[in-house]
Amino acid sequence: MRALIALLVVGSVTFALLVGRAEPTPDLSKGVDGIAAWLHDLTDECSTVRRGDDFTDFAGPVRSKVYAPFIAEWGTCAKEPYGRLGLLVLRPGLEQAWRTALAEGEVRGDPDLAFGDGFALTGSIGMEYLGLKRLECTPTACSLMEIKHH
Amino acid sequence: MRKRIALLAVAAAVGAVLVHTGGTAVAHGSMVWPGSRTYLCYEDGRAGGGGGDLNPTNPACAAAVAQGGKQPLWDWFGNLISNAAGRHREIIPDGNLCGPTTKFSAYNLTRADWPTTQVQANSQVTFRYNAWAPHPGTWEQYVTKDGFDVTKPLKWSDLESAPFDKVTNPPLANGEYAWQARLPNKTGRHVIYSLWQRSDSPEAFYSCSDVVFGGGTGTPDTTAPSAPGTPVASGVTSSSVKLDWSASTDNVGVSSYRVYSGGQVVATSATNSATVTGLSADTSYSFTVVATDSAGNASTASSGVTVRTSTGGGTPTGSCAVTYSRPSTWNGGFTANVSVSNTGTSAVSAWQLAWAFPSGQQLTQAWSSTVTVASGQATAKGVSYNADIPAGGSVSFGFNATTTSTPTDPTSFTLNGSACAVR
Repeated sequence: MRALIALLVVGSVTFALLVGRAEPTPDLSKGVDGIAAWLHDLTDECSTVRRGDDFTDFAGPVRSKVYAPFIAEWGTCAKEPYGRLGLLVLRPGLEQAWRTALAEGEVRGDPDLAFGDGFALTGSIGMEYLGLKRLECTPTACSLMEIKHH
Repeated sequence: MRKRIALLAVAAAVGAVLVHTGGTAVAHGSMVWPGSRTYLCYEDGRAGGGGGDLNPTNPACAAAVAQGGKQPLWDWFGNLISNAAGRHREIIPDGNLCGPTTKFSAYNLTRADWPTTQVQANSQVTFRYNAWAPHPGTWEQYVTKDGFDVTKPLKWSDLESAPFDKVTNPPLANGEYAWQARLPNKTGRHVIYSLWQRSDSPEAFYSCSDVVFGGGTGTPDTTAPSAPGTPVASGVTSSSVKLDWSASTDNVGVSSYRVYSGGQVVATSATNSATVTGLSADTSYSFTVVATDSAGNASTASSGVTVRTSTGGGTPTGSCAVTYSRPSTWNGGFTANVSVSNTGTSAVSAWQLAWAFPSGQQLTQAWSSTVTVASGQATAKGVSYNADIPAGGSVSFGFNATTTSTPTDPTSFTLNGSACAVR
């Protein structure tokens, strides 16, 4: 834990360390279905995964340009209060991509995802209770942050 | 399972079971009256989405979706900066006030066609801000200066220097914060800019409400609309239900209706009809309706209607059957007889039978029932001697109607919101 905290403090974030406390964690070998099953187990929601939508239609071209190359698979499900909550299976590299986009003025602020270990959700409410965290980024570094209780 | 329970227990211990929706929902917020851009575009998107999707028809909303995607509207209450800590002017550049993050950037579009709310200058109103769980904090409402041009980027200097309204920890009811405020003395098109800075967190929320100031009599409208009629359910599926109710009246005019279930707004409508979507299958819901006027006054809630969604997997049918016959048809009219059978094992109280009533038809007379027609739907209710249908029992009624075309028989009926078999 001490090592984890130290890593977080210096901002050396890797997705393998993103969720030290999240239990249980999704079975990402099952892709989006693994995230949905995990979420369903925790919430009794997200029972049906919607696939096949265009990610750019969902996230818009600016964020899609940054996120999409690092999304291995994605879908949405209904999870209150979201009619559609995005479930993203990630590849490494998103953090660097965001920092680059930030440096080039293509995006502002922080990534708007709630991050787990190798995956992310697009929600902004209640994510902390799922063990997820957010990234605070500057063009030179990102720090993994606890999400304040909503 | 033990871990899941532990997680929920921890969440419950801090007072907000945010990952479980067994009734308790979660925080975040945006102005719902006067509606923020994200809220009104979300509602516009729902109306155009046919249930389950968001397809705004308002040109500005559609442009915002084209630029920023639909996800910001699914999260219309999440226009926030996590670590603002009161540094709004420091961290939000001019031109980005309405959407300070990349996610909501499209809501900064410099357009004149955002959805607007008509308000009366210098009037006493009720601001409403959605809140799924209470959080301490302070709201500040600013208005744009005279001469504001919505087609130019909104700058901090476009706002009056001091908020015209400020409130800390306003009362929370029905899933919303609501508080009284006096609108400034403005005319024409403006933006009301709301800042919510939580005091228990550095997180802050931002919303732009596009308003058109009129009037300016200085006489506040404090009269609430009358309560809407009891909603009548129809078209019940495993995930949605259509509700109709008799309209409210108001001294100025009803501007919208809100449909509540479990203390939360589940639908809004400018008319006395709404379709609630996103429901769970085989689940009972109770719905009430509240009317609001342009000053934000809210009526008392209507009486409730309880609806059970179908189990899904096909056309739902409840424990009822309907026989519809047309014993007499003549040029320009017809007589219909209707028999409603309760095929269930418990009595149906205060029955209401609903069916589609084409626009070319006009009801002229009914017997053994009170029949009303609104929004293309007929609703029959029992009278004093047949208001309930015992288990295994039935009631019959009839009506005469004129018609401009050859009448066709209805193909579906709902009894208190549940679909009936048609014999």
